[in-house]
Formats: sequence, C-alpha cells, structure tokens
Amino acid sequence: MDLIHKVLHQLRIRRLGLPRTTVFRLALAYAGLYILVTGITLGLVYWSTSTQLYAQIDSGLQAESGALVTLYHARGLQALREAIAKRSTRAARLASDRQNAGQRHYLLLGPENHKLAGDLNRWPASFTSQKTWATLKVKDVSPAEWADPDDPPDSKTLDWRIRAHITTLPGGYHLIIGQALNEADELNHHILDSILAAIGVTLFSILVGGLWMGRHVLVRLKTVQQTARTIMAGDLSKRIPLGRRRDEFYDLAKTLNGMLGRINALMVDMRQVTDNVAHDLRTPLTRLRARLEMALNDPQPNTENLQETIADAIEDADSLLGTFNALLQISRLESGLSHFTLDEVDMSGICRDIQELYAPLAEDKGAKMAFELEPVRVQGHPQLLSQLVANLIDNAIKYCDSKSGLITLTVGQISGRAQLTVSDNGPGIPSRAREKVFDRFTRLDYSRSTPGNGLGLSLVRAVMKLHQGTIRLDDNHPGLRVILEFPAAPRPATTEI
Amino acid sequence: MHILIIEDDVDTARFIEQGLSQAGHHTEIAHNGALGLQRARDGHFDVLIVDRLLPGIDGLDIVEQLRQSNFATPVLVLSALGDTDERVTGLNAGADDYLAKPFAFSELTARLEALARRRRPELVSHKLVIGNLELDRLTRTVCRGKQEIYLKPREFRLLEYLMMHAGQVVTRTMLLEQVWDYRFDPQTNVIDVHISRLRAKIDRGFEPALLETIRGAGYRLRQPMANN
Repeated sequence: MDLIHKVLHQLRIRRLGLPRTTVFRLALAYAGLYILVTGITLGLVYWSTSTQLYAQIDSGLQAESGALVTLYHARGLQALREAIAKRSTRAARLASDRQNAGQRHYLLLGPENHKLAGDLNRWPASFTSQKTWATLKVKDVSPAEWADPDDPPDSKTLDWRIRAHITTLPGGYHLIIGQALNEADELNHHILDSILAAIGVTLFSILVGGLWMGRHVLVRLKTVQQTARTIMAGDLSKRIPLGRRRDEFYDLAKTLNGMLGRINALMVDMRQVTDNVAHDLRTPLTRLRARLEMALNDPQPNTENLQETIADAIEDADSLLGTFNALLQISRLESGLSHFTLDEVDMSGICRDIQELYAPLAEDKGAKMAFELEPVRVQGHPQLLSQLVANLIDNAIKYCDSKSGLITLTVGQISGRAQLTVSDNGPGIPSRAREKVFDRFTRLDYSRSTPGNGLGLSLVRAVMKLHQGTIRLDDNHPGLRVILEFPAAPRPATTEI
Repeated sequence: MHILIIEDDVDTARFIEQGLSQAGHHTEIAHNGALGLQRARDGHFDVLIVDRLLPGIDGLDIVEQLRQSNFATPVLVLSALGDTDERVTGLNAGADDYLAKPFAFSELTARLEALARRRRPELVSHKLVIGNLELDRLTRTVCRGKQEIYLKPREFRLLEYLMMHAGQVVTRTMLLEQVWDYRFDPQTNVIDVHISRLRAKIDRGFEPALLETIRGAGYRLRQPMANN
C-alpha cells in the first residue's frame, strides 16, 4: 500500500484529482478487462499443465502395477513378494528416482489385510478394496523410511501427499503402489505462483502506465482549464499554450484560441461602441439639461418662453430617442437574434419609391437626381431595404456638391447578382477611412456640421449582412460611389436569420 | 374617450393615465391580462391600450382572444419589441396599431385619436370637405374655393389622410406609415419637405391657413369653426 501511495504521489495524481477522472476510470476498466482475459488464459494453461503432471504419475503407477501383476500371474506370490522387497529398499527407490520415475512405495497385503511385503507400514482404516486410486498423506501410510523412531520425519514431510494405485489380486491379496506427490505439488504450486505473479506485475504496469499516460492528458486539460479560469478572472488576453506536437490538443487549443480571439474582438468592438454611445449622447444630453436649467433659473419666466424651451427639450429628447432606436435596430440586426422573413422583392421599385420620397429634399438643395433602374428581383426584406436605400440617398443628398449636386442611382444585374449603386459628386471618402465609416458614430470631419447621428452606414452594413450581400465604397471621381451586391436570386422563399 | 390600459408596469400605466387624463380622456387601468380581458368585455371603451409583455401572457394573446369573440373596439399594442416584423405579427393578431417603446406621448395620443375616429371617414361620401377645401376621392381632384389645385398622387394621398383626420394631430411617423407605407425612421425629416410642398399648394394665397404644424408632435389640418 505504501508503495502504491508513493507511486500515486510521484505521478502527482492527487494534485490532479485523478480518482475522479475519466482517465482513471478508463485505466481501471482496462486493467479489469485485462485481468479477466489473462486470468482465463493462464488458468487454462495451469489446469492443463497440472492435469498432465498428475496424469503422468498415474500412468507410471499403473504401468508398474501392471508389471508386478504380470509377475504374480507368471511366477506366483513368492516371486511377487521378492520383487516388492527388492524394490522397496532405499537404494532401489533412489535409483528409480534418478530415472525420473519418482520414489515409489509398495505394500502387499494378505487376505486378512496383513502386510506381506513392502515399505509401507500401514493402510488407513478407510481403505476399501473397491477403490483403484487413492490420494493419502504420508502419515496415513507411514513408510518404513520415515517410521524410524530415531530419525522422526518433520511435520511437513508427514503432510506430503501420496498417490496410490490399488490392485486386488486373485486370492484376496492387495497390491498397493504409491508415489509421493511432493515434487509434483511443489511444481504445481510454483506454476500457480508464477501465474499470479505475472498477473500482478501486469496489472501494476497497466495501472501505472495508464495513469502515466492519463496524467499527460490531464496535464494538457488542466492547462486549458487554468487558462479558462484566468480568462474568467478577467484577463481576456490569455491564450491556451499550443504545445509542441500537432495532436488533437493542439487543434483544440487552436480552435479555442480562435474563439477567444473572436470574443475578444467583439468585446473590444462593444466597448468601442459603448464609448462612442456615451460620448455621442453626452453632447445632446448636456444641451438638453442646460436648456431646462436655464428655463428653471429664468428670473422672469413667462409662459411663451417656457413653452419654447420645453418644445426644444422635447426635440432634443426625440433626437436622442431616435439615436437609441437606431442603435437598438443595428444591434438587433447584427446579433442575428431577431427573425426576419425575406421575400422576393423588386429592387428597382423600392428605389423608385424612396427616390420619390427624397426628391423634394434633393430639389430644395438644388441637386439633380438621375437614375437607371432595371427591374431586378432579390430575396429581401422590403422595409429594411427601403431604409437602406433611404439612408444612402439621404447621405448622397447631404454630401453632394452644394452648387451643382448630382446623385445617381442605378439598379442592375451583374453576372447574376443584383447590383445597386448610389453615387454623389461630393467630397467622397478617402480610401483609408472607407472601412471606418461603417462603425457606429463615425463621422468624418467634413460631416460634423451636417445633421445626422453617424449610424446610417452602420445600419446599411447590418442590413447587407442580413441579406448576405456585400458593400463596397469607391471613388466616383469626384464623390462617393456605394456599390451593393446581393446574392443571386434563386433562394428559398424565407430565410431564418 | 374611454380608454382601457392593460399594462402591468405601475409607473408606465400611471404615466399613460396621467397624460391621457390631461388630454381630457377617461382611463381605467388593468394590471394583469385576466383582469384586462374581463374589463374589456364588460366595459364600454372607445379604445384599448395593451402592453405586450404582461406577467404570464403575451398581450397579443389577449387581442386574439378578444377578436375571436367579435370584439370590435380598436386596440393599440405597446411593445418594447419594435422590429417591423414584430409589428406585422401584432397587426396579424388583430391589433389596429402597434407602437414601440419608448414612444413620444404625442405619438400615442395622436394614434389613439386616429383609432377612435377612424371608422367615421369611411362612412362619409366620396367628397372630403374642410372649410372651402374639397377633395373628391372619385375624380381625384382638389379644389380650394373655386380654384382647382393640381396635386401629385402622393400629395393627394397625403392630403386625403390629413382631411380624414381633420382636427386631429397626426405625427410624421403616422404619415410615413399610412401615406408611404414605411415603418422606419428616416434620418432627415423628409415628411416636413412634403408637407411644405402641400402647404404651398393648398394654403398659399388662401385664407385661413389650414395646415398647421404642432411643435413636438406633428401636423394638423385645422377644422374651421364655421364648419363644425
């Protein structure tokens, strides 16, 4: 037990909480199965060896008995007595032993069960003439050799087993030939011990080996777990070490690290958004508060002024609400949690209606609107697509050239994909800022003075993502050209997002 | 108007009640779905306000149950779920209007007014008349006094809607929904531009000015006293 404790300690099994683990249970189950199989195999080997061993002795005894019976029939009782006496001497026994036949003992009993010849002195009372075979103990038969009162045999010798063959001869005589089984028994025990030892050693090595291999797995898993704990504790930059070998743990660590990277990017993104929200909402909130405060502190308040202030405050609040709602809508679209049913819609129809809605606005600014609309059908959400086009046209009207503004709207089909472009002739967006403008609240320097919440293009991107389309910003020489592409038409009628 | 408010949130209910009382309406509050359902069936209300997130029940289930028993009173559903598809679900369930939280109070009152009186215009003849402004829905012509005014199709629909709700405040969102069938918030107030175009056609050079702007709320086509 001590050794096992030491081994377990050495393997740092307790620290890893091994007994609870799958690895431990697997090692145990495997060891159990192994013992069962090995036990059956070695048991069979033992059984057949042992049987063979004793069968050999029996056949030796039988042969000897046969020889003596033949002698008795041929030459009579006297010859038999002489032969037995001759064979019963110590020297004869030793000679027979040298020939690997084992030491044999003899006893010839007369019709009254009295000893006529042989080195055995006794025969147990239970002896019955019907039996052919018997297994007894040395002390039951008391061979002459060990009956010497001056040299008493030790207790161990007395317990040796003796295998005996009994032949009943005509005339009521009984011939008993026995052989001590001590050597055979010893050999048998030896085999059994070896088998048990072999099983023990194997079991031990399986357990130790299994646990050692399991420890390797556990250590790797522990690393993953520790990393996860560190991350949970707040250190999001922590990553799982990959290890040297490209095994399944390497792949697992790589996948998990990828996932952590994605989560981290989202977190950073979210923090950025939150910061932007806080920053961009502070200004109108401050203005709103200042308005109300000034009205409250007005030394000579009059109804007209107060109502004016309250109306302004409501407008501020409305614009804040609008920003909040836009933010919510974008997050909902981006999260993919809401369900939107996409139907087949005519993109050019959507564009025509939005163009009509915005025409007076463009006219007021003195901008011209040109459009080339081919009937193109896409799988889409009519309201969201309308909002998308509205946002793009709204931007185009805001930023087109203030003197001779021109806004161009096209809908067409390019290699099976529906394409929508909205172009203006304003200042455009420098290529390095083109990715950034899709982020929430991004407003380029020249747009600071125009009204807007910096969410328009974020929403456009979110809607395009929902429609599995792409969005590209290009130079219109001069101005900005927004190019939207939608996936090829045949798609299932509804898409669950 | 008699208005039943089915809303579990005590603060929201009180705030709605207070605002509606100020506007001269009688209100009753039911704080849970079962009570609301019972009161709606027993009482005689002009309009119902039903919140969607009630304890243990979706407000839309209440609307569906009411509609199944031929309950005809207009219902406005309030919801924190503002997606256009949620709105469609609400209208399909039998609601007459759907307003997402947070909302401007003027939006709520304008919509309630519109709901409570909406059956009336369908009963009037094909001619809508406000003062000396006449709109013929059959010939699709508009006259002010003796002068015919030429309107674009959308301007005609805009005026038609305003005339159908003459004397009531209509919000920009309502116009966008009812006249243009859009359910999103355009970043710029495009509606204002359309209204000023319409105003230029129907009001410029005529007395009195009919189309007025209500600050913080929307627009109203004034109903001259003489005509009431």
